[in-house]
Amino acid sequence: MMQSGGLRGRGGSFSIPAVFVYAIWITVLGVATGDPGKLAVTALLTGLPGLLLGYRRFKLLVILIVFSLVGTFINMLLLYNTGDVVASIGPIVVREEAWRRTLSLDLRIVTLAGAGLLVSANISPRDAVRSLESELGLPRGLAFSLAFALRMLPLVYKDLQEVLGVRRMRGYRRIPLTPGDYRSLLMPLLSISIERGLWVGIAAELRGLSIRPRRRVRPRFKPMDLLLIALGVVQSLVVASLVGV
Amino acid sequence: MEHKARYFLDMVDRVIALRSGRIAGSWGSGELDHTLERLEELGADAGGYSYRDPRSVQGDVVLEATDVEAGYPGRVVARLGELTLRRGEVLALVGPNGGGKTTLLKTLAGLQKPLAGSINGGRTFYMPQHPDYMFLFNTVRREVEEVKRLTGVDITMLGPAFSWINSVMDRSPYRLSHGQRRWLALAIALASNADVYLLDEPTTGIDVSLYRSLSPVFEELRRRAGVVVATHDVRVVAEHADRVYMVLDGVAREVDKSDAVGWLERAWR
Amino acid sequence: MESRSYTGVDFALLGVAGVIAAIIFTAAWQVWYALSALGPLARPFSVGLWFTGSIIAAALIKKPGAAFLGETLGALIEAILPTPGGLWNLVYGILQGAFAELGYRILGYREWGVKAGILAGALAGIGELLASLIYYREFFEAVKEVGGEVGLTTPVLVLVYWLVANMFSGALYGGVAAAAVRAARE
Repeated sequence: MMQSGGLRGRGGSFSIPAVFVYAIWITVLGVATGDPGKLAVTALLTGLPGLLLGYRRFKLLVILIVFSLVGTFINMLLLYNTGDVVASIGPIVVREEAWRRTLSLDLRIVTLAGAGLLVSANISPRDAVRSLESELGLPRGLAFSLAFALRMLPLVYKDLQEVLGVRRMRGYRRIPLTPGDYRSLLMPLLSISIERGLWVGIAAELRGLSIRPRRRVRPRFKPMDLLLIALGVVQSLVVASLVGV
Repeated sequence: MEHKARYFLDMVDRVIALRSGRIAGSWGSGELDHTLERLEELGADAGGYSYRDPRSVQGDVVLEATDVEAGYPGRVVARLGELTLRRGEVLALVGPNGGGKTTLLKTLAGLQKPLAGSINGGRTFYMPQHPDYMFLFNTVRREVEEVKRLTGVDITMLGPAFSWINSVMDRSPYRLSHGQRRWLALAIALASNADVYLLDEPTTGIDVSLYRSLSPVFEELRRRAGVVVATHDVRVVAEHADRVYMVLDGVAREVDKSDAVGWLERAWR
Repeated sequence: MESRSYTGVDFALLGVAGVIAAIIFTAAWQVWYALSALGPLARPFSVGLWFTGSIIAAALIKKPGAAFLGETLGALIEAILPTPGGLWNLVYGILQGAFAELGYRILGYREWGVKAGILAGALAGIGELLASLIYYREFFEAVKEVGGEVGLTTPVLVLVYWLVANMFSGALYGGVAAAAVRAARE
């Protein structure tokens, strides 16, 4: 399920703030409209490229997203199959309402997941923290929290594996189905991470986390960012209905 | 702050022993010769170890591994040519940090699939390095009850050294002292009635009196099953191990016990 | 009265809450898919797992803002990881965190234990509903129809069902998370 995001260099084609702002903007567009025709454009221009770029590093996730598209369709068939018949595949009759609603929702899922994957595929966690802090104005303390959390991620993931292993050894199910299971997973993870956190926090305090002034850097853009701007404008115009689809 | 005082006595000017929040003793550099003994009386880990000659054990074979490659897809961390463990035998895995001891231990425990080779044997129980991983419930009482429910073993009856457990029954296991958590984790392991126990660094950060109180549990584990212990602790190897494998540069090889003890001594200094 | 400004230790504990929340959130997707398979009416019962970033942070730090920041940080890490929700996760995090924060505020920022966790978790369910109503609005309209068939006659009742299920799930996992912090904290 988890890939601890191998730290990549800064050599991406797009600047980090441009990718962030683009992904946020497309996410807003994808939620703003429910029109299948408009969502088809955002899914095609952002969603699909995002899924394809993300597939290399987040294979399992992309497969999961495809599954959820099918799941939405099945749910809609069960719930909302009214109107004219659109298609019939063997014994399954697909009617207009189910089809239209599935289409809207699935195209939105593709759009938003693709936008998110564009961020994850282009920006390493470390660069994300740096950019959020120095270019996008995330407060210093929070940037420290985020950086510390991301640094601990592989450790906590390893803790989780140890705890799951012990659960198996002691004869309990690995998947935390009940709230009690959930608590028994949470307690050891917390106990160990709190210990780590206290020392790191004290060290940060001693090094003067709260008094060191923040260094603001103006975002540095790259030529390829123009492509993102162009794509963003096109999709904005489509969603705002200035271009008929 | 360090429990393994004997390795640091050469470097310090003054030794101060704390006990129950009070200064129990203080010695200047002139009297360091007596300090070790005094510290050991107070229960700090100043002392050495007694070397026990390896036994030759004739119990039934509980774990057998051949040509094992342990690691992750595309990355072999440790190789092991041949390993046979008998009931009643303690096998120590030693070697530098990051050398693949834990990965090998988990592979032998069956928590990780070997990349190559075969591992056969009885039921295994792996005990992780941090005792906190072992607890599943929010009070000691629930832990004790669940262990009893699943295994039929009442771990409060394990012996007089374990009598403190009755006074902490309603506490969270995570709020016990580090040593008590080790004790409880080992007791839970013991109750599982496995054929093979695989212990990852079971003595990290415990003082000498606690170490002494853990020793009977090791002995009990050994009496019932085969034990594989990954450790840096020269005491564990010298006093408990029958055989020693050293994991060096990704290869585990059987070495002579006295050589291994010597190596651990040098690595500490 | 303790200082309300955050120290280095507070920010580190916020990181702890964030990373553990993110790991739980990532795992929660599996529970969510499992419950989704049971049908749309079962789905809301898993959402409480997603509110626990706020409860863990508040129970650890015990200062105003912790619930909001912990939930948002967990959602941000979840978005970076990434998970199927993409950056919309942040909207969930911000709304859930804001409503959980409201719970601690109602109690005057004096209670940080199990009871406060139950209240904050229940309130976070409102935030989840708002974010879901926007994202899944086509689906929500569909559920209105099903509601008609299973006896929930009006859209208002469907909304109430959804909200109650959300708040129940939030209160359950909120209480459990607060208890876990109490057991683990030394």
